[in-house]
Amino acid sequence: MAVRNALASVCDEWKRSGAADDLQGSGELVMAEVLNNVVEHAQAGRPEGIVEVATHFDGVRLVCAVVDDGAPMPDLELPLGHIAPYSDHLDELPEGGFGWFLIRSMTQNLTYNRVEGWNQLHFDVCGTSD
Amino acid sequence: MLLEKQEFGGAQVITVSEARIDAAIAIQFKERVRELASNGPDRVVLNLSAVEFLDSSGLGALVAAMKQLAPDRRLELACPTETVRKVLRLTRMDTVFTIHEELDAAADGIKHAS
Repeated sequence: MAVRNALASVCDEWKRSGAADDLQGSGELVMAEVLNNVVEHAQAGRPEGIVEVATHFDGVRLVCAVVDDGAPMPDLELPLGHIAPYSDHLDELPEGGFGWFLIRSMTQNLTYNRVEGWNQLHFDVCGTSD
Repeated sequence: MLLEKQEFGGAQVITVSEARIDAAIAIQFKERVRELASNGPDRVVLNLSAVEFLDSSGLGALVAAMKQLAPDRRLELACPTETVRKVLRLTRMDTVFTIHEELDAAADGIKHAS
């Protein structure tokens, strides 16, 4: 629920700044995936963990930064988020692993740094054409 | 979580009245679909017209629900909104799911009722 609240706040901010609906939609999706990852993996089991989000619309894209004091990314690298081609067999379809794929599909300048016990993720959300 | 089922023209239409299928409710959603759909016609159409947001957890729940209902039942999606459509398209899950832009004429009464 904390993620939902955070998403509502950033969406309000983007709306106020005049970001187009489609861009806002992409932003909300990327931010949801990023924050879910932070909560589930970096902060797993740590209710006192800190997560901070900073974002603004620069007229073209949503410039975003998410920092948290949780566990580092494995090998200090971001997942590539590859999705293998889907099997014809229903029972072989994946039920997860879409998150980083979605993040990478809708962002540019995605960077990760680990600095003095903090994870720092920076990314720009760009519009997609439907 | 509000899911309502109606049977219409040989199919069961499950209308999802949640605005978001996301990490917060994905597991319950999957279970609820399975419970509701496990009796009734083979063809299960999920009416997503009220769902404004779907993240990867929500997508996973849709796939899991489809897999769980198989092989006896087939899960199809209807009335995707912009973000739902975007997620399905980007992940190419729109090649896996049968997606209806609108509910069938047979289910017309349901479409206008909510």
